Amino acid sequence: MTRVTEPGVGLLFNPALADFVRADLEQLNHLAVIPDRAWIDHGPGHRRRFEELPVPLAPVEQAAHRLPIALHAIGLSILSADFFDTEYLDQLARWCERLDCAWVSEHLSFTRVGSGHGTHAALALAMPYDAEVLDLLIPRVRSARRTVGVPFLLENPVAYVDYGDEEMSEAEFFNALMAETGCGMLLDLHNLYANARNRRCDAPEYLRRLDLSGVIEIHIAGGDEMMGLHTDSHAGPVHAGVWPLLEWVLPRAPNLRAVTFEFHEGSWPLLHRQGVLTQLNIARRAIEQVGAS
Amino acid sequence: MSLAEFQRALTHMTLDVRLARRIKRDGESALAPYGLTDRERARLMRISRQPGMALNCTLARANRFTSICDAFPMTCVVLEPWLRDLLDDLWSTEAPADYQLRGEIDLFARCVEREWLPRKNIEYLREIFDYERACHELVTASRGSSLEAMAGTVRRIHFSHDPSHILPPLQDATAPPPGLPITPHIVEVEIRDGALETRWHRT
Repeated sequence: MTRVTEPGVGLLFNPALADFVRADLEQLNHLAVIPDRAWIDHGPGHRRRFEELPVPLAPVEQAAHRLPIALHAIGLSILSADFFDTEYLDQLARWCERLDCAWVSEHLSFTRVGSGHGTHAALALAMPYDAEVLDLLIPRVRSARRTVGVPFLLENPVAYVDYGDEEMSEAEFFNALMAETGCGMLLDLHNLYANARNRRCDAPEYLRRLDLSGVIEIHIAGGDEMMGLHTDSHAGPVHAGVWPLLEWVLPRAPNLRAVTFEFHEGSWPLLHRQGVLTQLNIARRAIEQVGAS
Repeated sequence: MSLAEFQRALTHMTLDVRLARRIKRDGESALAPYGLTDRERARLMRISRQPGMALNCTLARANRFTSICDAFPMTCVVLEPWLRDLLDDLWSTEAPADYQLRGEIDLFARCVEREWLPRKNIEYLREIFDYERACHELVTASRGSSLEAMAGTVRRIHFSHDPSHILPPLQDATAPPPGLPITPHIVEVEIRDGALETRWHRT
């Protein structure tokens, strides 16, 4: 594995980036990839549960010889109360080994309910930050860490509803989770920006309360307005409101290893190669300024 | 298992906008089938009144529709005046069963086949639906096959109208002109060099 010892910039791979990854690999310090794009998941208990698709991640497999790869999973549904999907976790471990990954991340949310995960919500849903939820999560995160064998990170979710009477703030919840399990955090600054804007929470206060020593990776992205709310659509370039948050976090996150730009492949015609390079360069300059100060 | 019941209710209200509205109007009654604590019930009732819940419902519908629109884009254009009702009815009884929402395509196809084709006389629906279903089945079959194995696999679809007047506008997401004359054609579709190829002739 290529060791990651200091923060760099990279991309979350999508199919529109295939040529970019082949031609501009030297612009990247790492590459993140959603492994779920490589298979059809027939569900828990299925004899051939994970049906591999023909070469959708070929550019990533080639890049893995030269760059650190981070696995960014979307299918574990780690907060599903009635089922912990160890088959899926084993699949992550196999892909982690296959791509020689530096770390694995997932989302702090649930998408599936029912024993055997019979129903899918069609959306990642956040849960209230209560002790009951933390208790559910701790053994699962410990198990995930053991199974994947590399650092395991959880990402702060975007949430469009406010439960209103949660026992902990999101920052307190993540601090407790990291302390109890040794997991890391993938701090998605666009999710934080969207939550702050939609639910009037205070992003700087969130960051001041968060144990930033647990942050290993940061996601930066864009979004747009829908029904009066700011959505995490990953549309276009990084939202202007995200850059100040990144500049604030960078000098205060001692274990940060990666700043990753993510965008939806539908935004490629808007961004093109130059637009992607611009986002990477802004992030790189922000990192370099911290190093120079 | 109260936490599981909370997630079940939240999932159902995300997937079924009618349930979300019922909870907003009369949460006690609408949430009665779920084994919730008072706090969980109050939370669900609270979020049902927030704009973010309506957004959750919309995003979930958009995610489900993406799979359908990828496989049946032209059918969706032909069905456009009725599509919202069709999807409301379909999704109020059928939840997504598979993690990647691929099952949405089969649910939609079954609904069109069983409910809409026999009962509604919608111009061009039969031929366009059959054509897109054939394309989808070919693409699905090609997933696990080599190009050589797919060579010569041709699907033939009966069109009642001239495809050259129907397919081009639909490929631009535009409804074809109404009232085209009946001119039976056979449309053939196959996968050649990894891509779908379509041709037709008059019968």
